[in-house]
Amino acid sequence: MEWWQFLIFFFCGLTLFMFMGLPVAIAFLLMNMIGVYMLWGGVSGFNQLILSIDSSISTFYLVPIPMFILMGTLMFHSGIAPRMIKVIDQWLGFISGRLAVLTVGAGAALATLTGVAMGSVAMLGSTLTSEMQKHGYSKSLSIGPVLGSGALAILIPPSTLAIVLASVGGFSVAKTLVAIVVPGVLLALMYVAYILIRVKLRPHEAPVYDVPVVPLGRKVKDTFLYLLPPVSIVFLIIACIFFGWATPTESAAIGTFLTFILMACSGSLTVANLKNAIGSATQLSIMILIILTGSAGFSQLLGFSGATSAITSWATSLPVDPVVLMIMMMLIVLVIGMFIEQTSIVLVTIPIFLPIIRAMGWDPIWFAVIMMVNLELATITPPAGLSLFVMKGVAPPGTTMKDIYWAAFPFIMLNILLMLIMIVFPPIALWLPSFM
Amino acid sequence: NAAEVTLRMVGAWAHGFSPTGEIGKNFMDNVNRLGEGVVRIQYIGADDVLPPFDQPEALVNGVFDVWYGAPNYWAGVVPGGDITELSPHLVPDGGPGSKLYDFVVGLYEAKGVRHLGHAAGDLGVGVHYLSTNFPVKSLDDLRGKQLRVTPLTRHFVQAAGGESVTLPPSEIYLAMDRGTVEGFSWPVADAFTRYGWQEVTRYMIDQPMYRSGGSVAMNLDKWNALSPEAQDILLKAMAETQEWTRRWFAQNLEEQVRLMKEGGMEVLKLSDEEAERWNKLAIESLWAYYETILPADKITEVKALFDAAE
Amino acid sequence: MKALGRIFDIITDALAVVSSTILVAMMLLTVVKVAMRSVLNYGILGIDQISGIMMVYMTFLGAAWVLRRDSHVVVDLVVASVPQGARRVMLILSSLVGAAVCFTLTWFGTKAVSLSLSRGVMVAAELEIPRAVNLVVIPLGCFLLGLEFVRRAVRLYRNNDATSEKFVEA
Ligand code: NA
Ligand code: NA
Repeated sequence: MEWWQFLIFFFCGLTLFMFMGLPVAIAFLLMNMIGVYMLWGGVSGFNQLILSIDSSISTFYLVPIPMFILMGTLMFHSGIAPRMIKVIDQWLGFISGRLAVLTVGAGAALATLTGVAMGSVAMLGSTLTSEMQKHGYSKSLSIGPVLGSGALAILIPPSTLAIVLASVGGFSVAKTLVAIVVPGVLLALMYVAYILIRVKLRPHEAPVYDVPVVPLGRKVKDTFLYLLPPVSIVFLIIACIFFGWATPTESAAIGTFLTFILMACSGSLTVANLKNAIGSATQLSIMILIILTGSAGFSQLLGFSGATSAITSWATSLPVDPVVLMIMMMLIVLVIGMFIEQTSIVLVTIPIFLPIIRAMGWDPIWFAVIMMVNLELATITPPAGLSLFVMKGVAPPGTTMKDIYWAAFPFIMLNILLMLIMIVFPPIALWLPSFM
Repeated sequence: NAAEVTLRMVGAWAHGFSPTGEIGKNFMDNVNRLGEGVVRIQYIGADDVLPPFDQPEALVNGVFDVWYGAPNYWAGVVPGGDITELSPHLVPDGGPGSKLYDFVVGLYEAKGVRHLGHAAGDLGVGVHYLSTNFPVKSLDDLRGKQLRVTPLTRHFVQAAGGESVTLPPSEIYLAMDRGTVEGFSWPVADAFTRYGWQEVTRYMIDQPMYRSGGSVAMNLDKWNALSPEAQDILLKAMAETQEWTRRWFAQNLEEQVRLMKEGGMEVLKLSDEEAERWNKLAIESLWAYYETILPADKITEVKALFDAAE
Repeated sequence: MKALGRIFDIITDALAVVSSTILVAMMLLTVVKVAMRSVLNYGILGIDQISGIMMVYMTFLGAAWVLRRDSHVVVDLVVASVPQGARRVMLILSSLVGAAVCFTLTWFGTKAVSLSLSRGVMVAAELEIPRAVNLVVIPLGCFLLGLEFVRRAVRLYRNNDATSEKFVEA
């Protein structure tokens, strides 16, 4: 089989299995079994498939995923998160669409803790989406901001993916990490602006609900009691990572542990709360990790068939203007990003893009930053963006994948807009690292 | 030519990315030049097609035919498969035709693998070094320090009283920058500065350890199915690669150390006495490990083969 | 048959408790490790490696339980929009395919474990642990997941109108 035949076969097969109602993880595994049979030496390759299932999740770099999920469900089931949101509500009472705006703020704050978009989406989605729907927000507005903000995890340091990208490409890691801050913050601001405009134009999507007038003294007291403690946990986690007191995995575990202590202090450490929180965290973690056991193998098989590298080298060999070439390269990443996860995209495309970047004389940091926004986007592009599946898992019952795809759409457009802006105005990407 | 055999190769690092990865490419080029009409190698990919630590088992399972990477990637599959890290021979495994080479081939054959060769720089060139953020005058300075290790260097760090931390290369920058670790081991010739580590590291301890380099291996069934002519071509190509690697590593080491110094790093030289202590502990701690995983007669045999080196 | 189903429920529930315990233990182990390092200046080796193994165990021991709660992620774009009769057929069919995938993985997973043991493959990290320790939970988890798929197919076949609850509102 030629590489393009593999490509069509792989994607049609995967789409078919997913659409017939197979769980995503099983659809990946089934497609992998077929791919392994064809590419890895028949039945003897199945042994390797089992090994790949193991090595895809048996790593402590992924431990922050279940940790942050557990932290989220604990804060939710113990009432800490809803109370925290209530306090912010008291202060933000006058902004329409404030819960959606709050989601973006919380997403940006979480992004400073983790480089894993899925963990962020799980935490925001399990706390804020149902809260928004309870207050009459539209489905789309209660889901979209969670997807967009969760994906910020990749763009705001610490970002493991930025480090992978920089080291594979041979770019300065420090500069790449610093350079992504500006687009990260810019994207968060674009989200907020978009939400404010959207709510202004379509007020029914975020009904204004009565916030009882709360005296200032009470607001301050509530802030100290209900807002500062969980926020301090978040800041402590940031400090642990930033000052190198602990690795991200360790920081995540410490943060979760402190959440238990906070529950004890607030008197909500009951057996029922623990059972609910730990139970749903286990369920969510399994749901996400089991998809990873299939998606890693799928990316490997695509690489093995030569399809991913062939499509990249074909498209980049076309004789066109540099800016068009850059846009085309980003389109390739965008398309691949619809189906496979980001580390694999980096591993597959960067070795082929590098010679082009050098030949064009581009600043590699400029390229790296735009690429990072694109990789961020890959977590929320249908049909196979992993954050979309996580969202499906944590969304209130009755939410369909279609709802989620539609909710993601405007945020995908905002990401593409940011990429275009940076392609046309490179200084946006290069301004901050120029001080280094 | 219809009789030409095509072997599929996967490596731990993509071509053009790391100097050690070039060992695989050099071997492939040699085979394709010498083997015209008989045998050729087709490169499939590196860490984009299979995670590097899964590749050795995948070779045994027949997912592909030829592999290149670090010898110690075999540690879990072929006990003692990386013992040539301790070799005093110029070519670590003695090269095809030598007794030591046959010994290593025997170790791998027992696990379904054909060892083709371990290529490295000259003794002390392109090998593992420790780089730190604290000044080091003596082995004792390592006590209680958190140091990032590879499976190979962890024995030394533990024997020196340090705390060994396992991290992949992509995590080293952040860990050094934030102080999560205070030093790490790396074969400096293998593109140290490409990762930007000179920006977050103060000292390189100029005390070489072990042999490092790269090794090439084949699926045993696939090897046995080759014609003697094809086998000879592969061995000849390997011998050429082993010869080529020596110059290649010397050139890369020199370039890397220059770039490290330009990046503000300081190269620390140990006193003769301390250097000897360091070297002794490095060698003894690794031998102690091999003694736990290889039977005593194999240890005796390989020590005798090592001693035969001039 | 009903009693058998109840026993199976008890088993998957018990394993879900084990999964949850692993999740909490993973956190506590890491916290203890950090505490030992910062307070007693004493590093414990291998916690990260054990955490990795725990991730695999947590996932595969609890997978069948997650399916019983109908919580595995499904792209319901098509399933949710076809008439109920067709939906039932699709769900029965996909459950059977799911079972087949899981039983195939059980078979090859078992072979992978025995092969790994006979080859003596070790994980060469801080702790030298046989790779089979990681692998053994994969066929076990797949077997239970496969059985749960079969039960789902049977349940859908028997109940003409009651398709999966999650599609009621769709
Ligand atoms: Na982040
Ligand atoms: Na995607």
